[in-house]
Amino acid sequence: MRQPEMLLLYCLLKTPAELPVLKGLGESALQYFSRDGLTVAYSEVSNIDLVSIESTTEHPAFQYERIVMTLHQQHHLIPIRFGEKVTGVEKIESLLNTHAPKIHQALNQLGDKSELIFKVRPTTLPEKKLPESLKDSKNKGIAYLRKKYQKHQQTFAAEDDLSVVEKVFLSVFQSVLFDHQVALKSDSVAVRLLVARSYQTSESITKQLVEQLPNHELSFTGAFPPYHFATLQLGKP
Amino acid sequence: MSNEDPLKPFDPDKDKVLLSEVLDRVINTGVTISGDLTIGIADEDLIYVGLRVLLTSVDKLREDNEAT
Repeated sequence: MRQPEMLLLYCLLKTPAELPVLKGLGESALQYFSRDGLTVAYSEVSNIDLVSIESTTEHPAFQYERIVMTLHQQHHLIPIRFGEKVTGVEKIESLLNTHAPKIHQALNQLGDKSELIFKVRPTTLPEKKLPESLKDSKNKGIAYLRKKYQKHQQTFAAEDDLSVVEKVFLSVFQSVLFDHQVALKSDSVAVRLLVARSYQTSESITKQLVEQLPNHELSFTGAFPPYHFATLQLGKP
Repeated sequence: MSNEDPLKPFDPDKDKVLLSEVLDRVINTGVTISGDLTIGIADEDLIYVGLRVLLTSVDKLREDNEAT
């Protein structure tokens, strides 16, 4: 029985005047299927191992992200989760036929946006006195519990920070923000901002963040395609 | 701020980008075609979602391990 061709989907675009010639994963050509103003970027991956992690620089996820970011620099798009595959172009056609209104709506809302990701980590953790029951340094079980407790204190410090950090970012970015998310990581707060694709950060923004978040380490990555805000679920085509 | 130019996004070609950071972004988020993690049996209408069954973010794996 002939094996169906596997097509990896990269992103949904508003069909541009000209589609760029790019390579997809494994040097296969990046292809496009367009219908009624919508385009899906895809490539054939039947013979490609998408799970290989022999080398982080060659991991398919890196290649995939680079391709979507290249497209995002020039075109309105929303990214598709890495690993979404269909069997054949007719499935892509069915996808667009079935979900065109939802895709159009999502592209209108997100297509011209980017996400910026900040991580905020407190450098000065509040001093918490250990409970008396955890001060016994000889008991191995208590030593284990003490370590767990101290780890949780770091988490709580970040939890305390959550609303403060969120307020600061909402204040600093209020004039350019379309949406935002905050998430508690193990010892930091991740802030994701949805901004216009054309938005550029500035020194004055840096200064405001540093002034309003003293005793914190801040790091920034982006701009990315709006992965965290592209929550569209299309169902099986 | 941890970088020289605090708000300059780091260049993945110059700086080390952890695979886990990329994976956290591209495999946990974005438009999905099928909502459930179901793997079809060999059929002409097969839709493969097996990759997501096999490949998950480091944080999710860590959370799962801590929960058990």
